[in-house]
Amino acid sequence: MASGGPGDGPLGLGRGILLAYTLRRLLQAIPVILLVTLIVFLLNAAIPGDPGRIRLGQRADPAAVEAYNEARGYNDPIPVQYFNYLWRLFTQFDLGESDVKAGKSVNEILEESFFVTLRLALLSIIVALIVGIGAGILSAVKSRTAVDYISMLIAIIGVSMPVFWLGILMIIYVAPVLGLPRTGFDDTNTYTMLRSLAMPASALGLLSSATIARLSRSAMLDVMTQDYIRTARSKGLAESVVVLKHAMRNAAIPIVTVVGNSFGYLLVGAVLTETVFALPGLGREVVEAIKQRDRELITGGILLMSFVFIGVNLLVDLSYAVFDPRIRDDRS
Amino acid sequence: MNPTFGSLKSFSRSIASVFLCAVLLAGCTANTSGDLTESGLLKINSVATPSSQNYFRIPLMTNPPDLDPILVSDTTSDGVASKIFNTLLDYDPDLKLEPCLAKAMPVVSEDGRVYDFELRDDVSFSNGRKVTAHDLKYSLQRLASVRSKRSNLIKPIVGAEEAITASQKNQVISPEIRGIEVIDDLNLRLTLVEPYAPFIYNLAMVNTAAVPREVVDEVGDSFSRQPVGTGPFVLSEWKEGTSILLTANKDYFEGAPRLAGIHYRVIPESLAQLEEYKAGNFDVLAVTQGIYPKWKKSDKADEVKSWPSLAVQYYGFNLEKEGSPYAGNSESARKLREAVNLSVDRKFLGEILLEGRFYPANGILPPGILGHNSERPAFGMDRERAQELLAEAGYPNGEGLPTVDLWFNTQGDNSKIAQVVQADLKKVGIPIDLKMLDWGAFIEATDSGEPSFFRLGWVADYPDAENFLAFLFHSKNKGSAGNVSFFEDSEVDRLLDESNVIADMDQRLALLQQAEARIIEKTPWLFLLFGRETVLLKPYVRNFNPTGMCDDVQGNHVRWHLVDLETAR
Repeated sequence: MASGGPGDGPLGLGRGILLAYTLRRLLQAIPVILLVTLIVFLLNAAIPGDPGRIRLGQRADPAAVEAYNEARGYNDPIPVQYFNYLWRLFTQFDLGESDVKAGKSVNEILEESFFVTLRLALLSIIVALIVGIGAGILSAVKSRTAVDYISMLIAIIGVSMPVFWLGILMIIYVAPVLGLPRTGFDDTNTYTMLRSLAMPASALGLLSSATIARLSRSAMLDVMTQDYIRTARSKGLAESVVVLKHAMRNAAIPIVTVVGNSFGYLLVGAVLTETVFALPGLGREVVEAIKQRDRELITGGILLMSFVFIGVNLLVDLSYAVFDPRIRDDRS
Repeated sequence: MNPTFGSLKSFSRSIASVFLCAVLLAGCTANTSGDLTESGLLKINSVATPSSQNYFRIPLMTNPPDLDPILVSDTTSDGVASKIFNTLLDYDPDLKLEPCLAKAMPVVSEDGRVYDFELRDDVSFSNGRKVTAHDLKYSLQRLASVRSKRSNLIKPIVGAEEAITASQKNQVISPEIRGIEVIDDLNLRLTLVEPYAPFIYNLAMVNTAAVPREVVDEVGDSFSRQPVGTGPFVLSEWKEGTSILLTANKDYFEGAPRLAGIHYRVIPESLAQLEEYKAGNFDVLAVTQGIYPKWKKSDKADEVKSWPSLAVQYYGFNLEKEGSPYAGNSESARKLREAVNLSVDRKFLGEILLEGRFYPANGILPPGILGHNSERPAFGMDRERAQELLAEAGYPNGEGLPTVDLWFNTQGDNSKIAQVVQADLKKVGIPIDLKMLDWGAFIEATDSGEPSFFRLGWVADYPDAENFLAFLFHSKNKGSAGNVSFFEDSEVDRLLDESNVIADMDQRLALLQQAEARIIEKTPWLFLLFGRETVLLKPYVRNFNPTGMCDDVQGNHVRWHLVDLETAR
């Protein structure tokens, strides 16, 4: 078996080494995570603003501020703080306690907010895939017709429009018509959760769908001119089979890459959507933490985001195997 | 490249741009151009139906960080906590102190050091246990713990300083303070190190509220997230970052609340809040930029409510900044500062830029604060006199006057105001540059005396002149303790110190007014604006009577057990 050696990418994967490849990627993530924690620590230290002063307020007693910083270890040298943090992280998976929300652990805060964002991102990507791939295929199949131009026109608008603006327009004009909640997050049950995420997921998904639509269109146009498509047609296959089975499958890899990246960005970059629609998601939580210099939460939040990105990239790489038999069945 | 395809692509892009502009324009205009009523007023579609569950619904911009009284230091947390907890004293709608957990106002010894409180015997925590003097002692002592954000409130009490210092080392939650004595279950005595008349106001701040020891012991730091108090409402549910539900405490000692509860929702975007208010999903809304002039001229003008805000906006000079032409006690520096004061069009700032929600200040103490001098005219603009003063200070037409940076933090209208002030000063030849920082960096810089010219405001902790003058101008408070202008004047110090030991309010206020007049004469600030707190309130809401004392959209000192919704009765 030639695969699995140093330098092998996903194209060198055999069935048996999928696990080894995954493990190797996960091991590679460790120095990245360490680097992220180091950078965040250094940035936290470099940013002006005494954490005790911010925590205790403008009118706090200077002695109390000093005592607070001492108690939280903020007066220790940065290397000591960094070591203590890593020790807690790797021995107890403890990301510390929030500076701002008394009695709340960072693990708890991130868990709550991450699952809100995860649900938003999943729904958004579903919207983006349905609309984006649908519009892309339609444009490619009906290339240079009115359908194509209109689809791409909408896609350009989608790419150009800021999500906060689309969000506000949807809150004002769409939510009342559809009878959906304008803002907020209600996870009382699946139905209320889906209703409360319908608007933000649509806003976010429609914007991502624009990019996917444009990419799908060009990928499909490339594939549709290939010889094997002509062969498939000459065999008398129905056009839908040609498009969906033969063309779409071969156009999938670039689309998967973009969808994967979009999903990663949706998970860590939905802060504007979360703000406009008042969702207590990860992005909003981290931005609030940065504003309030909640050091532990900033570090924990950025670490989680790094994990998410690494994880999503890994999944995207692994998913290539599903779409390309050459990757899946490579035993050379 | 296929030229036909290329031109089609650019054609479709042009169409897209036009379409996009149209959509954006529609978005911009659709919401501002409403129909007019027969009387020519703008018609605003706003639903006025109260909650079917008899909840009062309030929007919040942010999640309150903490609800433990000793940790409350922001108005959002204060607004929620003040509905769950009670203090020994509180304010009536005229901002006069009145008993709350106490049965009557305290008996104060002749030397002004000893305060004897008799407590009400009918107060219980929401867990059903009666409140005693032991609870008040425990709750006040908690303020000395290292976790407390407001240890300064109990500092005047005998033994408090030692307890605060000790707790910073031993981490005790409620260190013993010998100046807080339990006489019996319903009688509490507080003894101060020396007479300090404003101390009594501290006992109306939510930080000094009664908390049940057994619950704090049981839940520890989580008390901030599972608070138990004596107030008219009980925390039923808190979805962090999303919503808070308070339900009525039927056994509230002042009578069961008329509302079934208060439902807060956290919505950071003000436009989204406005849409929810118009849709009838909120009963009150903080008025932000763009709302006030439109609603004031509409058929819903009666929903606009406003009251004086106990706050002052100012630009301070650092009087000890080396190299600043505005620093120091020289006549030349004072004339320069006066010239700055005469160059700014405060009316434009308040009436036009800030849409009439602010107006020119006439001193340091805003209306509503005991000691406010309503006789003094507001600071005006006189550019000719400003130029004369510039020349007298040695800088005719501003020639040779060095440029200083005006520092301000990134929030609200600060940037817009700074730009107008910069333009106004330029007209008389005073050059300034603008420097914008975020709050953390900004406050650290002002505390350490780095900027020579900076924006700040002060919101009253209690409605007494001492809260403004001593914190902001007493030489003992220079730097991070509040006096970031680094103002120092022995006469002002003397007047302030003397006012603290006088029990007679009229005499105190006379001294404090003298102090204010003397500070104004020295011109340590560019005195800017006083303001009004402005909200939209649905017409069916009754008895929402704010005091102005930290009262914003949450009505922190509103008598909440009396508030009701007309059609729900």
